[in-house]
Amino acid sequence: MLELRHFRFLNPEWFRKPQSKLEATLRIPLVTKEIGILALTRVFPLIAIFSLTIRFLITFPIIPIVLGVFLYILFELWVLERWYKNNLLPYHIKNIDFVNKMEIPVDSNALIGNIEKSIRMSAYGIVRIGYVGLASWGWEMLFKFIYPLIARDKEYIYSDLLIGMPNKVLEFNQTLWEVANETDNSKKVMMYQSFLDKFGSVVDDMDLSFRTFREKPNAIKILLDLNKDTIEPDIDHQKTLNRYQSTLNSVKLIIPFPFFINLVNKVRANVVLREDRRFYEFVMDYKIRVMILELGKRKNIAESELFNKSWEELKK
Amino acid sequence: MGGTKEMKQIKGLSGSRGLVTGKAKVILDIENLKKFEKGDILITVSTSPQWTPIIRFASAIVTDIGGSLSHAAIISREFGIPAVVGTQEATKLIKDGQKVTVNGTAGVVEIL
Repeated sequence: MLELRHFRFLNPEWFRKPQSKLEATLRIPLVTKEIGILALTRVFPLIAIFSLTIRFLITFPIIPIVLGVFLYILFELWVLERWYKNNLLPYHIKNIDFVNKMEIPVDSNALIGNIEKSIRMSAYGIVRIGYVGLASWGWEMLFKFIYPLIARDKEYIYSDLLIGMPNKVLEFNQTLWEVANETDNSKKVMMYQSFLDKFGSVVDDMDLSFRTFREKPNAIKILLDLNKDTIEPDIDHQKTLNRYQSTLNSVKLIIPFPFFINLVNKVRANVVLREDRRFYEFVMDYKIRVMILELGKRKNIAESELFNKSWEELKK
Repeated sequence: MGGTKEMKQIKGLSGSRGLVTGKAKVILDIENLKKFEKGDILITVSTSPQWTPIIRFASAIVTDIGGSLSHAAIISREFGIPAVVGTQEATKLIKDGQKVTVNGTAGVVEIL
């Protein structure tokens, strides 16, 4: 059976823990299906178009396919960020809103239907948002390779040019700090709830058996305490931005600076998606877990047992 | 060798540049944050977005898993703290409260 650990080569930080039976039988089959759909509707057609176009120019059998794959990667590097921002993310946000507004129906069959519907939406988003990683990682790797070729100074650190970018994780940090330092208690309660609604679904790994951030009140309390009376994260971020500016001002190049800054901006715009993607990929997980836990409660199955059951067993 | 303390070195990858010496705290799960204090060196298996608020208060990070493009590396560069990533065994070799030096530039951790 396909397990999450088989995808560890993509990112060893993820898929570390044993996969629950429920994840394996509920979301993974749909994720696998969505990977197939994405391959058939986007990856293979693009490779085929580029390969066949080159085939008209070069008759040697293998080269058109190799060049086709290469052009496909370049094409995706160029367009994925825009596709993510203009098409994928707005669509995914609509799905998130839809799932978050789902009622918990009294009828268990309707609840099962809601879980399956939200899992389909989650799988759709996970696969496509994950695919955008090709651009967010690809641009950094490309920049890591190109920078030594265009820098005059050999004492360069390319990663110092990829800091100081706003992203969802830093926004999460800033909002947490604002809650921690709010002195008006009634306002604080509202801000805390809003923080949980916006950022509480952050996950540690891809598995519905793992509790989301908002389900770890002790950790949140400690983090709120740590944030109290500390420097605002946005002020720290300004320092990072200054470090980026000073690195940018000191680079010595063999290409004109306007070309370089265009390249840096393109890399930064793609790299910033990395943390953004992670935030949006699993933002439905909390609501899905709430629905699954409710189903377990109705069937008198304890949380410790719930995720060791297959979806078919749970649905019975 | 009387009186000479042996210094153990753990090699990993450079995640974020810098050199820091401090007290290590091995935290395997974000729910066990109670023992963490501001300025501690965070030793963990790997980090995810859930860990970002704690990284802000660490003076350095050491992880078992990850490379130069890992979450721990990216976030520590953002916060300007040293990070050594992909050590494979830091969480097993380093004990809570031990004094360690994290050399993020060389990708080396020394247990003092």
